[in-house]
Amino acid sequence: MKENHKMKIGIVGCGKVVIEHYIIPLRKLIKDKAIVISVLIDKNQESIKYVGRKLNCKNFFTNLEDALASNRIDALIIASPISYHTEHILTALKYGCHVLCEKPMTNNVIDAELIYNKSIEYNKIVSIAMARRFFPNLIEVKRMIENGALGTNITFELREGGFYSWPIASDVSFKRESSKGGVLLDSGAHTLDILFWFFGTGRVLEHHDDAWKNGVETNSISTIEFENARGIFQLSWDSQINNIFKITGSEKTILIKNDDINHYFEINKNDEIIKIKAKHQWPNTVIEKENPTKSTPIIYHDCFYLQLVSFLRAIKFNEKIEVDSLSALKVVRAVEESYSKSIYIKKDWISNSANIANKINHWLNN
Amino acid sequence: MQNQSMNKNFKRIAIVGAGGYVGMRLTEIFLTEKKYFVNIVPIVRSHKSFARISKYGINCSYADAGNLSQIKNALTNCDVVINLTMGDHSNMVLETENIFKSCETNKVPLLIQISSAEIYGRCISKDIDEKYILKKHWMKYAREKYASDEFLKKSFQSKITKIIILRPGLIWGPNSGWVTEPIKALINGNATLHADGKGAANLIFIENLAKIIINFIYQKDVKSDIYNVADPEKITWLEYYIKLANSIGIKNPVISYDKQIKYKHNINDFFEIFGNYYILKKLKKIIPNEYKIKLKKYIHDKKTIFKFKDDEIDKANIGLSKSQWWIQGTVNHVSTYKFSSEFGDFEYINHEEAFKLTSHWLEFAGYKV
Repeated sequence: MKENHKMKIGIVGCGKVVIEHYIIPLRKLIKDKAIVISVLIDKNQESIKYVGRKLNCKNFFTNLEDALASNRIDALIIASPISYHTEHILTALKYGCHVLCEKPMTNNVIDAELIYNKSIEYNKIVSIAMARRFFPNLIEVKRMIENGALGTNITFELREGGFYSWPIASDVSFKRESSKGGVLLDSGAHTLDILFWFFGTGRVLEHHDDAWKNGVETNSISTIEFENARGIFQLSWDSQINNIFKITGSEKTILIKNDDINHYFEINKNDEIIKIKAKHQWPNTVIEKENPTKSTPIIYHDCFYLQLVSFLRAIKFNEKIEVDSLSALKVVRAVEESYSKSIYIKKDWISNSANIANKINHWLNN
Repeated sequence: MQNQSMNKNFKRIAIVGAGGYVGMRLTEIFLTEKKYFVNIVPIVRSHKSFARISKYGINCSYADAGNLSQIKNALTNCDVVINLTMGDHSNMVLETENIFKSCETNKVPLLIQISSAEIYGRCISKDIDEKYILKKHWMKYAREKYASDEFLKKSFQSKITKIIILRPGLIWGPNSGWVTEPIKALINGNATLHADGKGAANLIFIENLAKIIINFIYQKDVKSDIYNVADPEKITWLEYYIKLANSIGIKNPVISYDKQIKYKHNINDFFEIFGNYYILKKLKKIIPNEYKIKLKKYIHDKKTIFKFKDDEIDKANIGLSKSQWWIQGTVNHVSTYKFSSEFGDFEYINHEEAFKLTSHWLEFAGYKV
């Protein structure tokens, strides 16, 4: 691929995710003459027209196969509902496209393995959107773990939750027959990805969730063990839990607040707390191969831009992709492993009879 | 269901606003406590609200109380309607009117309206009771709650639908923002109290409110009326903060005191005071996301332009919002004499037990230090 070649991009699924997270970075890349948006695929005419207007594209389709059969594109952004991910990824690979797919890659291991194998067979990138990999604080903490700055006997607690507030357009994600899982499948894709990225290969020891038959969990708590770390992660769609990521080693403790991507806190043996500004930089251009300009993201949306740049640079300059299908496969495996071990959450703040009802109605018992 | 329906105590209960804090808890109680012979109809405005109760695998009705035909359809065949809507404050009266009209049309025998003790402001006088006439209040929320109550009061003579208006204080307990926000401040060491913490904390434990609601659902010969409801214990804000701190293992909490007699506004108040105005809500929806993000980044950059260091920004954030400053300046506890005199033997969960249950939840939620 020539360095001045404008990459042709398609987008399947023109809903809230694209409108909220992709339009601004894509417009910047269009303005920089790095890409053109060649096709948009969605059944919702209102959404597709809106996105088309914003991204200067009038080539609309309702079916992905039709779009790819009649247009040569380099990469496809998949932002369709989870249940379509496998079909859309495999179709894209068949037509020779690289893929950037919204999380989670898929909701079952069989499909995830198929995608991984097909990406190797077709020699195409299948990357999963994990904007958090571009948080400056997370990458600096990961380096500290890798170089042993935290010491040994690492434990962690990662909690993330609140009242669900994403302006979702349908309720398919909240019914077991259509979704296969709730908060673990959704937010868990991010948190598990970060844990595997930090600590390597791990296994789920215990998993608790609160879903009843036909429902999907709104709370999940798992214990995970890695070679050099062990801890819990808790997710919620209905509880205002303490949103922190705390990692404790023999030498120091690191505290990351979920709403601040630029800082982390070090707590030393004397309980002194030091606030540290993270400064990691990523290439912010697709034009220059050598010595590209770099920047540190300031807000969450900057990470989406840098993620897109990283994806496009991987295609264009053969650079390493941040989240490949193997990483995503590990996450899907962990989610499935968690569900297979699921037991109800005992709540000490509700009555015994309510706990019994939660236990007997738990989805894995029915 | 056939057998349940034949039971004389069987009730079909609509929870309007089932995805909110009280709605979620009532949904949980009615689904898990087998002693209640009920069929619940959770009603939410949006899919995101449904997400919060999606664990039960139950069907949900989607209806906007601002839309009469939608809410009328949703309330079909109900015995009780509990109005917990918390949408746009500007629509509060309209929504109340629509819900009441729908109750009458559907011949619903009982409507329970959850109002607010905020109507009484800082409760300057000890004599304030349910007959209080609101003349002015800086909070749109309080004014609209009062106007909604006034509308319903005019319909107290309805022969079809009896109306119970409950005016609870601040609803606290597991998962309440009135617990998590003070807890976060106590953990971070930036808890601040107005009026030396001596202000009256008009609190009601979530389980007590739920029990009172259920009490009216099963009450025979209900007469339309208004009741102030609160925990029987009368505590100050300082006592409340200390008990919360103790419940997560902080023995000697760091609390600073705000001395402002007249509140000085800051930029955060703009969103708190004006954020609920219809026009601004509309604007928020209309403004393309890209401009909102640019604005967010601009505000972030401004902090640098004003030459704040990060630590200084943290310090600048310490303090009270106008709502907190106002509420913590409450002079008296709201009078619950009317409820107590009519339901003297009501079994409240006392504060000792309530703090214990809250402490269990705080541990679950990862707040224990």
